[in-house]
Amino acid sequence: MAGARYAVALLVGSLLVPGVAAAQDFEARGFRLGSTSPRQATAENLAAGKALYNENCSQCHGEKGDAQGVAADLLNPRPRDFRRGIYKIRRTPQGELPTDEDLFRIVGNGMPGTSMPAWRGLLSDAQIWQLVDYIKSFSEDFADYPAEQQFLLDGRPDASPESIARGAEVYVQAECAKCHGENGRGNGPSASEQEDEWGNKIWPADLTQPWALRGGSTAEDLYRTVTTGVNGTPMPSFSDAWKHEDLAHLANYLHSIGREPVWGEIVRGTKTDSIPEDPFAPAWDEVPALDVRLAGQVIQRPRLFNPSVQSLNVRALFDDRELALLLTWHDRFEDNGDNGKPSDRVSVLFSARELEERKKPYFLMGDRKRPVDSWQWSAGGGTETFLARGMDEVTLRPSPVSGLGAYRDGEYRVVLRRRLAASQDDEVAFRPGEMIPIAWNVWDGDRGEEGKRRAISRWYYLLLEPETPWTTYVWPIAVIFLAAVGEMVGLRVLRQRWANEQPQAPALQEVPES
Amino acid sequence: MRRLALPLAALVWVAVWAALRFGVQPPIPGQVMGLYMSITTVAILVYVLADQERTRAFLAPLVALLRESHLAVPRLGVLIVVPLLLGWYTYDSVRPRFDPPFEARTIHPEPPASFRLHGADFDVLRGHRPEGMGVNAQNLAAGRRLYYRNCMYCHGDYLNGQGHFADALNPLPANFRDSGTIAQLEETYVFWRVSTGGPGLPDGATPWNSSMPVWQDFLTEEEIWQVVAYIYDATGYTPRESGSAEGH
Repeated sequence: MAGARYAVALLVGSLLVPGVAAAQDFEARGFRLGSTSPRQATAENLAAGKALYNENCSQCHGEKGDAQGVAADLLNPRPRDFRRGIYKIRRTPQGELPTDEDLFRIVGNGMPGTSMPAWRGLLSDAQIWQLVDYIKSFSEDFADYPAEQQFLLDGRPDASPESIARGAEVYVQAECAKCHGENGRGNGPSASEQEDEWGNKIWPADLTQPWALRGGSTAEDLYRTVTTGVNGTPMPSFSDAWKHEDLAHLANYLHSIGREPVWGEIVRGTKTDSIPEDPFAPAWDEVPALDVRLAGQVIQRPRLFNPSVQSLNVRALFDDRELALLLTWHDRFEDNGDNGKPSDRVSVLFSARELEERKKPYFLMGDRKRPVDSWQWSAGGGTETFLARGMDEVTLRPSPVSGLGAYRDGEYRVVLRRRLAASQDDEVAFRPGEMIPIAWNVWDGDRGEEGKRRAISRWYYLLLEPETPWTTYVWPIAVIFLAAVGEMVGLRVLRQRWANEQPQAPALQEVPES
Repeated sequence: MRRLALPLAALVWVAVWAALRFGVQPPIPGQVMGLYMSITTVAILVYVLADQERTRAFLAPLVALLRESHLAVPRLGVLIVVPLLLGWYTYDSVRPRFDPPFEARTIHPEPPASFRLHGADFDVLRGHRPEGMGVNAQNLAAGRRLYYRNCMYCHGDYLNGQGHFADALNPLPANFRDSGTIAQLEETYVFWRVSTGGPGLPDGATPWNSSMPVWQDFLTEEEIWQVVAYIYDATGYTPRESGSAEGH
């Protein structure tokens, strides 16, 4: 017994000594580290945490913490397996367990872009702490090898242009582009061959769409991830080889390439003299954009629970003759049908007829009474137009739509153009000033998405912004003029009256006295 | 106090506005806010005009502003700013606005008397949970499994309508924990909505674009009853008794 204990002490000691040495190395490179203070779980908190866990968490993470909950096999990324103590989002050095605060934060904030919701607001802080206590009980490591130090994330340089430029150099030197791609779209040369610790296929993060970053998207979050790595995945910790300052600049750079999404209801089409042919023409960047969230098609078989493309960016330009829609989305791999996988596709849906009583067609490709005019562009096959009365009744028809699309560095850009006026029955017509229902579907061939297995959107509106009528400016000027005249006339009348009643004005004489 | 009638009136007006604007959650809609503030304005004026002395004191600072020679600079300022404000207000009300058309949402549309369920008629008004599909531990466990393999993506882990796909949908998925959803409904009504989904909504149920799947295409009758039992059990609500609700 005593011998065994001695052996354990030796083992733990040998683990601790390199730890301390590493801390000194970190500090020599400018990182600041703090100590941790693990909670002592009381029996009551563990019992309360267990009840909360079984009620709210076990559906995905499993009653035994083994990630074998009833929903687990439909989720991607898969739920965390708590038994092995491998946690992705931490402030502790690579390979170490998270602190209690790390667990508290991740339960509270959730993981954007996954099915892990933010529990703050749904559960009290005290309840989340009870869950932290209970989750730790699934792995003995929390008792045996608790994290003793954590990186402090504050005190980083501001995101000055110099800092961002230096961060861009670090991005190149640290070979981030190998996985994340030259422009951070998660499409580097090694992007297709990544696996996590459990043998699941995973993909590098798209750093330009920060709203779906699992660990959060602030510069602080990004600094934490590059500093501590993501345990259980190929994302390493860069604090072993880089200085604090370099990683802080890198975080500023990564934050700078993340785009702010523009969620909303309306695609605002802008009038122009000439619609650019090239989807990558700089003129498109001036056009207001709308970002659209996509969901998996889970309404008809075969269903898609984890769509690859979760948002689409849309812009619209029009002239006197034509409308052009620019559809932009990120896809890590180009699939045009040549590699045995389905072709990547996008489609735009309109109501084929004028709405009656504002009733739109069924958002999934229309219905018997209300057909849908569908324009589809495929990376392998160009542009086609369909009339659809539901997903099972789709008829190909002569296409008045011309499409031009290209794939460049992890991004598809497709321009679809058509005359404003309809050229046949059951075809949408575009008139400036009208709210035109519009929806989209996207397929990622690399993930085997084809047919009904697709990402879908609800109905949004397309508005071709009409020119502002001149009366909009005339009315305010008229009102200002009339008000000014009214003031002058009124004041003159009052002055005459005051001149006449000068002798007796007792109330007014009080005013100067006060 | 009388001499301060105008500043006091202004203070009361601002206090009422601030209380309504910041003290009430969720925020009061603009038109209703306008109505409340008109009432406040009228009430203050009635109070002021009820007394002659008070009226005179109320008007005194305004009269002074227009009359006193040492106030010429502020007077000029006011005379310029007021027409400009009116002009801006006019511009703001005549400029073209493009808001998405308002779509009234019927939360709980009148159910049909009966609907087709797997080829047979189910009576929504007089039907009930069949014998042998009672609410017991086994059925609740099965319902829970079904919920997390089918419903969670939209209605959420917490049954609060905040699932992974919720942001992509409109109308938003129902929040079962809200007292205005399943807590208001009979079990057969919920059974009907789950069985027939968005396409099963009656014509009057605007806007006609719910993304709720037709669950009888995926689940057996027993499974639908199980999942209905589960969402009541998990949220702690009980279904409304049949016959207790005349219309919804």
